[in-house]
Amino acid sequence: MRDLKRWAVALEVAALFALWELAISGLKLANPSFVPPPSAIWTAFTGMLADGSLPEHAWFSTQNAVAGFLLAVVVGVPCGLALGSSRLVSDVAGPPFWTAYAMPRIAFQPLLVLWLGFGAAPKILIIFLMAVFPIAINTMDGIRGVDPSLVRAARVYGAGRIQVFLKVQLWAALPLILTGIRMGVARAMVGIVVGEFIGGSQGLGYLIFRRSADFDLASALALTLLLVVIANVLMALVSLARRIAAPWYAEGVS
Amino acid sequence: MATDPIIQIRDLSVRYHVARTGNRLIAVQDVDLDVMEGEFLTVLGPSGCGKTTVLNCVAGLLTPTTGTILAGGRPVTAPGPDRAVVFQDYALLPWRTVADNVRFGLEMQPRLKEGAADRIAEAIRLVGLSGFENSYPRELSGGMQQRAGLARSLVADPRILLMDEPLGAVDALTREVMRAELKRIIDATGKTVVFITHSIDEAVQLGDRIAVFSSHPGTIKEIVSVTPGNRDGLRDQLWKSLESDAVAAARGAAE
Amino acid sequence: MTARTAPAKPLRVRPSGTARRPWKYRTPLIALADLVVFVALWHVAVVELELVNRVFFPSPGDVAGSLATLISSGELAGHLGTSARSWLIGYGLGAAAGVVTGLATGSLPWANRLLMPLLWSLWATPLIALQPTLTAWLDYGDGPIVVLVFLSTMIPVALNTATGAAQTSPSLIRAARVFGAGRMAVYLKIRLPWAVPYVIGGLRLAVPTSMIGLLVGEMVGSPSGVGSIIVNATARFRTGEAFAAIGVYVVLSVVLVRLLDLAERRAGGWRNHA
Repeated sequence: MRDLKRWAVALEVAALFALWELAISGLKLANPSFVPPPSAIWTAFTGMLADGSLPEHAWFSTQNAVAGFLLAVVVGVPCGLALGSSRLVSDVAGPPFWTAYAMPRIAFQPLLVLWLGFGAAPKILIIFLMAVFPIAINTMDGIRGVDPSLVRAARVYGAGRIQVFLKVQLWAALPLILTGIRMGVARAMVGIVVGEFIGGSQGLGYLIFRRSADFDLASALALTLLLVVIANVLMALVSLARRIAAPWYAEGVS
Repeated sequence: MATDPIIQIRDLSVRYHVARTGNRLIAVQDVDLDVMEGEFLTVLGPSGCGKTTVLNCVAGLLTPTTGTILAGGRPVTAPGPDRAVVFQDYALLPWRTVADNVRFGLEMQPRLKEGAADRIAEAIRLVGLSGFENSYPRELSGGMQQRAGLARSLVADPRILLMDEPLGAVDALTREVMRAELKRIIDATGKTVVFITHSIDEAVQLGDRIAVFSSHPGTIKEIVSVTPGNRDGLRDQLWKSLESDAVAAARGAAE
Repeated sequence: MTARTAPAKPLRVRPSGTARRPWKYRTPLIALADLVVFVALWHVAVVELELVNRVFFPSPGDVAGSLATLISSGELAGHLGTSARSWLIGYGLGAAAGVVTGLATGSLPWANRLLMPLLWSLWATPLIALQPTLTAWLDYGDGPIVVLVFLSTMIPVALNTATGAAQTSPSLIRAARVFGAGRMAVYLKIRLPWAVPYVIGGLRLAVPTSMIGLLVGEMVGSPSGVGSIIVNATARFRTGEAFAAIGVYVVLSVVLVRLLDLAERRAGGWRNHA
């Protein structure tokens, strides 16, 4: 059933592309250099692969993304655990945390460039800032949402505070932690693109910006579609990790 | 042979502070109750009458406002391995298989490390779940989940089993089957049981004695003994005794 | 035998309805204290200790001064007007399109199969990557911004609405049929009210995403709007002005989220009394 659905989506996307191709190349509904058909986009894509520009810029983006995202996980999960399990921490650190969360953090990107220069540092930082909040908040919700009757049961069978945390709360929160990581991936993608739009000279975001400024829209759209594919593949991987790490967790809407 | 009761409850009262209204809610008032070793005591009363509060106090999950509870002669201050609880909502850890959930009943007691595997297998066999050791709770029916909960409570061989409407969340047919199963398992282990229910049938069918609760405030109205001969008569008597409470509760809920 | 002890004190697990009074008034106070301490530390670090170069990092006073100038010169009002117009058009149209798409997707099985996976995959996607292409298509200015806000509003609203509509209780729909409701009446009287809390949830989700769309649009490709103040001020090392503009954004998004929280509580009230 699941596989069937996946094929249906693939077919659907293929049909959309076919219609698009037909409208531009066949029926000439729009100027192909203005609205490039899928065939032109594919040609642009293979062209960028062949001349080495795509691999080079993609490598720059990947390095930053991995650094920023790992940092977000390493910081976000412990912060969420602390906020979720300690009343004191959430009272004292909660308000600044929520304020930072409510802030449109990408607005700081021009300033980050001013402070940290045009290199990788501001890009890594904005990716971190985008990804860390969904991770921390979901972790916190996971800890807080633990069924109190499970905690009661653990106490009946002799678990102390630390054992309740290790044997019940952490496990119960695991699916939500992974959900947070999945949302973090989506936000990190935004961070990558914005970071390279503003004050960048390398990376996929920069390349999109550059090519569309040169009116090479086929290349710009090829790169945009590549980002769509990467985002969906990464999210699917995290979902897969959740299915493997938390097989008991019946997937809801997340 | 006159022995001391295994559970002694004296002058137990529990009051809550209701944050929303600022009032104090009296959940349980002046409860005195003795439970003898090997006895099956059912606690019968309408919903919201405080029976679960009493059970949580005996389990050590709740500290009474006033009064004392002795279990095996020692005052109850916290949960202990002599008292196991079976919960209405099963409270199985969803990320653990049946066998690992049963193991949970042993894990926090280092003295039982040895022979744990045998104990677990035996408990699972006793409740009739052999073959489902590696299933996750969500793959089991309600009745089977409660069997797993029962196995978890039995695995460390506690003296006292506290059961909080264990059949409250399963369907009517399963409940009939499970009642008979429970009776068989408890008879086989000879445990002392405190069993909470709001079903007169269940109380009469399972209990050696029945403690009847009334609500507002929650307190014991009467304690009756069950003998094979008086079951049918008891049903009518208990219904009359509870009718006004039940009607009041239904009205209250409707308003 | 009897021991009169302290009042009922639950051991770590709190039965519902237990006292939590002392906490009730603490959090806003702590938040206020946090704010005062934060601003004071900021001031001391920048002005007294001179830990950072004031050209790059303004003091609280600098930010307040810049904000005052922005307001009195009328510059802020002009940019804010541009931003508000783009945002309102994009958000309004996006919300409307999202609700319609969501209702259809949630209640028609074929639309569900066809559109749900696409919506999910778009939700996962950094839509702002479209910004340069949109600029090439629609020219610099408000066009690409409105489209970005529209897209980043429509998708969460549609997803949430579809979820709500798909979960409409079948027995309510049956009941409506029994009492003579036609297809349209089922939509208006059952599915839509049922989905309302989900719609509001989607609108709330869409506040930060649409803000991102607005900001990126204004920062990257527009001569006006609050986002452009941030970029232009930073380029001229007027960081106080940039901070002031960011502050305006923070206040706007917090207010919007709060308003929708309020609406959510109002509209979702029946849920809690079930």
